[in-house]
Amino acid sequence: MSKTESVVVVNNLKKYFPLKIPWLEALRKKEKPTVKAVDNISFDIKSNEALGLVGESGSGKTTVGRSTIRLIEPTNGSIKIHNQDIMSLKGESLRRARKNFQIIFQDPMASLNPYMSIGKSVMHPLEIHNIGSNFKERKEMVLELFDKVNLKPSKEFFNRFPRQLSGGQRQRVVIARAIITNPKFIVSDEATAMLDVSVRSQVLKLMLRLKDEYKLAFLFITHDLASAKYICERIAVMYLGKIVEVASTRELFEHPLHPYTKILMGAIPIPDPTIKRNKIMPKGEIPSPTNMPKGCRFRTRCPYAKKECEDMDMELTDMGSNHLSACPFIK
Amino acid sequence: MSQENSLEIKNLNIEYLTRSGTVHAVKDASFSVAKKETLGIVGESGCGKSTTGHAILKLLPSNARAKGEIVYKGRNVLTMPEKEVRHLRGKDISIVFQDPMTSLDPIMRVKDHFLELMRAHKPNVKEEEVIQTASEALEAAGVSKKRLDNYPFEFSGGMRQRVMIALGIALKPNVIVADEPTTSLDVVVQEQIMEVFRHLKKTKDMSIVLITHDLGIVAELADKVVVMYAGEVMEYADVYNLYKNPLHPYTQLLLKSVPNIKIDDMELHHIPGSLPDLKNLPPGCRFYDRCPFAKDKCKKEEPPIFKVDKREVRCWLYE
Ligand SMILES: Nc1ncnc2c1ncn2[C@@H]1O[C@H](COP(=O)(O)OP(=O)(O)OP(=O)(O)O)[C@@H](O)[C@H]1O
Ligand SMILES: Nc1ncnc2c1ncn2[C@@H]1O[C@H](COP(=O)(O)OP(=O)(O)OP(=O)(O)O)[C@@H](O)[C@H]1O
Ligand code: SF4
Ligand code: SF4
Ligand SMILES: [Mg+2]
Ligand SMILES: [Mg+2]
Repeated sequence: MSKTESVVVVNNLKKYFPLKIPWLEALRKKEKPTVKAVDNISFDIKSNEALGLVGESGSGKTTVGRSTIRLIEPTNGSIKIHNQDIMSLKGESLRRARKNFQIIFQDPMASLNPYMSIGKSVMHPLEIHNIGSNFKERKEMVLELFDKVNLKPSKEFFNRFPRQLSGGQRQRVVIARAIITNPKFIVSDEATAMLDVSVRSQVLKLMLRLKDEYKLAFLFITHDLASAKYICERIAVMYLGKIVEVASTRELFEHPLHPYTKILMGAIPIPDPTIKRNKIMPKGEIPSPTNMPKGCRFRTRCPYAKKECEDMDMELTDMGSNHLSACPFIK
Repeated sequence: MSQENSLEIKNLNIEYLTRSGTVHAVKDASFSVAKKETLGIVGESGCGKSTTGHAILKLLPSNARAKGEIVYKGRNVLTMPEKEVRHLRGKDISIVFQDPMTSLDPIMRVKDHFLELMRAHKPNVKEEEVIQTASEALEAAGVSKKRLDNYPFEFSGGMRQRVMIALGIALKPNVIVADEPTTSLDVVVQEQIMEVFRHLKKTKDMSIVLITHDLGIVAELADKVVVMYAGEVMEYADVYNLYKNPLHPYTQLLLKSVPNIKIDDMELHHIPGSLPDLKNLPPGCRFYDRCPFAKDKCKKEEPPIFKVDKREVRCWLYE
């Protein structure tokens, strides 16, 4: 895979959060304790490609998404978006670059200003980035986009307020606001998690269409593998700050390799009462990220763990045809 | 479906009085839960699932008006004096809420939650008895009894939900109402909680009312299913037949719109339109606007329940 065609290239991304401890204790310790929320991960995404990022709660998905677009400061790593070195940008230049990358959150109500009409909310990024020459032109752009995301009649929707919309409609407003600046890259963080099944399908369809039409690179963060299947060309699985497996969606669904991925796949409830599976489940709970197991981080819960797992580095290795796994023992 | 019933709901009607009008949240709902049976209640957000579930324990807010019958051991819970209902709660019928963080008291240790629950039924209960009961319940819910002295914030979301379940089963109730017990938990933790329920089903004489919008979870746990739409029971059937051969157009479309994990099925389906306004309902079938099979009659006349084999369906197609 040549990196030049990638819209997003992230290498060795780290985000350590400082841990709050009593100051006296802090004075005594040489090394400040940290939460290694994201620990040295790399990935790239091409245009018109969606990379899924899945994994259980607390594995670091949101932190990856936010660090990648510098909504939070990464501890370390290099990030290129649309051939621009994002880590070297500061102040005004970072602000200007933001029109190329946007994020969609889980709760549309929390990300919209309740006192601003949705038309104005979506127009706002155009004003910030100086796109369009006057109000009339910008309004035209918003109305056109409202048609595209199916907020019709667009003229009527323009003046509505968030509380006058259903959950699915609100999320479509948020999506419209994210793509109005014609970005190259979208991070979607559990954007469909709060929606009812039927509405979820509808929003997924919309994302799929926009991805095609705008040739977007998508980082699709979700804990719902079934939703990821419809959107993503490839899927990366995270566990405790590390990517443990990456493969094409089909590969991952047909031949999951990493023991954690297998467990994750097996845990998805299937809407068919005739199917009774024998599920392998991990032992215990996800360890605290402040007290990570040495070696393979999945060791404490892995049904296949053995002595060697205590000293290995969780390096992703190609197991054939771009299927990467961090477990060398399961092939 | 007529074995020995633990709970019978007959013609349940619930309205919420609000400043802007009356919300017709539940209309004419009837169903029953047999001993040792799990009944799933499914439907889109706002269709009246929680309202129905909370009515079973008479836990509705003060602006709610409930009519009909909720029969437990031959008596109607809805007309029982509050004092007597309090005796039922936790001991005969218990509830596990959607959000364990807000339903556990942050300044009380796990042990104290059990103490409070048991005191309500036995004012002078002894500490040893509390610890004994709590340990058993926690163990059944997959929590080590070593954690009796922990505070809620010291638990992960999944563990808190298990503590809630432990509290729900501590006094060995006959019926447990679980309102979205796994929503907001990730799949691995969700599966662990489902395993707790499977275990309860096998080992305890308990009936479970499982409220969820997740059709996958219902398929895994329920024996019978009530499908609600805009406050009405649209279909009522055993789980196998419902999934194999859904009768009501709403059930059919709902099942079709569930994302699946079959890699060769990449088509996404959704139900166009949205729920009708529960303050201002149309005269005919409540699903009329969104139904692909709607006919003239559906617009004018509300369909009653029709019996098809041993199932029930509220739709004119089965007249
Ligand atoms: N601002 C912060 N300060 C300290 N620790 C944090 C902060 N944000 C996140 N963390 C920790 O980093 C880890 C990863 O969190 P993150 O929110 O990225 O996980 P996630 O995979 O998105 O989980 P979820 O599925 O629950 O959203 C967690 O242990 C979390 O507690
Ligand atoms: N206290 C209340 N006052 C007025 N209306 C209410 C009240 N509680 C609920 N409602 C309304 O009653 C209807 C049914 O609500 P209910 O909470 O039972 O739905 P639900 O099926 O549990 O939905 P969800 O899946 O979102 O939990 C909704 O239209 C809701 O807005
Ligand atoms: S390295 Fe060992 S502990 Fe880690 S996933 Fe593989 S078998 Fe399990
Ligand atoms: S009664 Fe008519 S509108 Fe209602 S679900 Fe049946 S066919 Fe559709
Ligand atoms: Mg997150
Ligand atoms: Mg509810």
